[in-house]
Formats: sequence, structure tokens, C-alpha cells
Amino acid sequence: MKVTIRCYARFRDAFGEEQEIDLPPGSTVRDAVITLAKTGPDAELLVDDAQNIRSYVMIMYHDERISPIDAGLITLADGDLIILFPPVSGG
Amino acid sequence: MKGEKPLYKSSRFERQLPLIGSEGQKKLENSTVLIAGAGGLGSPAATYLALAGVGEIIIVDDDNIQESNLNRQFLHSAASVGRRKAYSAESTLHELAPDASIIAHPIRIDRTSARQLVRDADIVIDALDNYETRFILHDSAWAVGIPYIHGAIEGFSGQLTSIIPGKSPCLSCLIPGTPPGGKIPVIGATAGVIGSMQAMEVIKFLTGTGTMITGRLLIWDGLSGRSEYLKIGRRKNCHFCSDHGE
Ligand SMILES: [Zn+2]
Repeated sequence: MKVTIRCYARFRDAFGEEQEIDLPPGSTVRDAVITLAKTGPDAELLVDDAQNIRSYVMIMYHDERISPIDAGLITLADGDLIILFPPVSGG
Repeated sequence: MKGEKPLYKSSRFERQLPLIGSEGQKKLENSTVLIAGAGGLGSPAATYLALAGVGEIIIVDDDNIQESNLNRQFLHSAASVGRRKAYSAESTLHELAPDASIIAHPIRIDRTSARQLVRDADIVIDALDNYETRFILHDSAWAVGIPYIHGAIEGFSGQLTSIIPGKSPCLSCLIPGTPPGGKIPVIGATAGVIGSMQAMEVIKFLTGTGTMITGRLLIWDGLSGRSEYLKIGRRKNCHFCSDHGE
């Protein structure tokens, strides 16, 4: 199945504005983020060494915010959109 | 709220009175807005609020102006490099809006000063550049029950939400962690967009018009022209607002 990941701010710089990725059926939001992380040189921006999504990553899925801890519990469907955003800090 | 002042006699507010009415104008004149940071976000936020007729603006910044600030911080001119940002902001705002009372504090925001600063304000604009200070100021605003208008920028992107104690989740619910820092590049117009939206939130709150961006985080990207709203709920076991309640 195919899901689209849209990135903002620093994530967009590292992984592009939007990517469509191919995932086996039954994949979770966490799987999608890990797959995306592997497409760029800055994987550690999104995941740690244990492939856990970093705590600051804001994940939006079906208009809801998903906690990085819960991302492995949410199963994706073909055509889904995931939005990733790092909190920005400048003023 | 401060003591009442007579309504402005000139035509200065002629173009906005049809929108907010003389009642709304009076509310702005009788209000005090605390603006934390006289930088990229503080420049548009303070300017538009002073021009709109906010009666009192307290502006806080302990930095001196550097040349590298000038691509975005238009409260300060090239001739002001080296001056205190708070005082430079005060003189610029005074020139733009002679009837506004501008109070400049060239001080650092810590637990003690934050408590003092929020006491005199009806609402706070977070135009800061780091989360450590943001949390200190946010916690003080929450404690006295006044809204905290959060904005932040990086590059071509920005975020904004209005935190209203008792009505919305707190800043800790929103930001459980922050990515590694460093010197952040920014286009001046990004600060212009988010800082102006912060001023808009304040105007809506003070005049009681419109719908605040609350319970949701605006995510804005100037490069793609996209924006999203991220619904933010109260985080289970949030260490801050589950202790401090509604
Ligand atoms: Zn909270």
C-alpha cells in the first residue's frame, strides 16, 4: 500500500515536502516514519538508534495528533496521509 | 485593566472603528500587553498593537542589537546597533504611536521577573527565541490566568497557538520535547507573518471578536504556501497542567 508523508520545517529540508512511500499491509505510523527516515542522511532527526520516534516529533494523522509512543499501535490504510512537524523555536 | 483614557479625537482609527467599534477601541486603549522579546516576532507584534491603539505595551528584552538582527527586527535601525533592544523598541514605538504608553524592561526573564511582569498585563505575547524562557513565562502567565500567545519560527516556517488557562491545554501538553538547537536561519517575512498573527490573536481577545487559535497549533510553511492545524489535547499526566488544574 502507499501512504503519503508531508513534512514541515527542518523535516522538509531533510526529507522533502511530500513523499509517497510503499509499505506492506498492516504497517503502522511508526513503520512509515522509520521508512521515511531511511530515505535521507538525517535519519536521527526522526528516530533514535532503537528506531523509536523522537519525542519532539509532532505527528498528525487523520486530523489527530499521535504521540510518538503510540505510533506503533496505529495501523495505516492505503492512501493515508501523515504529517510530520518539528517544533520550531526561533523568535 | 488600566484607568480609562478619553477616546481618540483624530481620525487615526477611522479605518478600524467599523470593524471593532468604539467599544472595541476603548478596550484596546484600556489594555496592557506584555511582549516578551523585541526581536523578529516582537517587531511586528508590538508595532501592530501599538498602531491599533493598545494603551500600554510592556516590552522586555535583555539583548543588545546586533547587525545580524536587522534582516527581520525592524523595530531597530542600522544606527541602533549596540543599543539595548528594549530601549530602541520603546523609541520606535513611541514615534509610531505617540499616545501609547511603552514600558521598556532591558531585563532577563527568570522566575522572579516573570511573576512581576505578568502581574501588570492582560495578555502575554511569547516572542522569545528559546523554550527554557518560554516555559518560565508561560507558567507565570498560567498562574495568574492570563492568555499566552505562543509563536515560534525557523527558516520559512512558523507555528502559533493561543493558550488560555482553564480553556486550553498548556505549553507542556503541546511541546513534550524540542529538537536540538543551534543558530537558526530565518527569513524576515516569516517573522512578519507569525508576529502579525500574534498581534491579531491579541486584538481578537481584547475586543472579544472572532475565534482564537486555541486548542490547535497552526503550522505554517511559507515555501510551499501550506498550513495545517494540529489539534492539541491535554496530555495525559501532563506534569504541568494536571498539577495546576483549571
Ligand atoms: Zn499540560
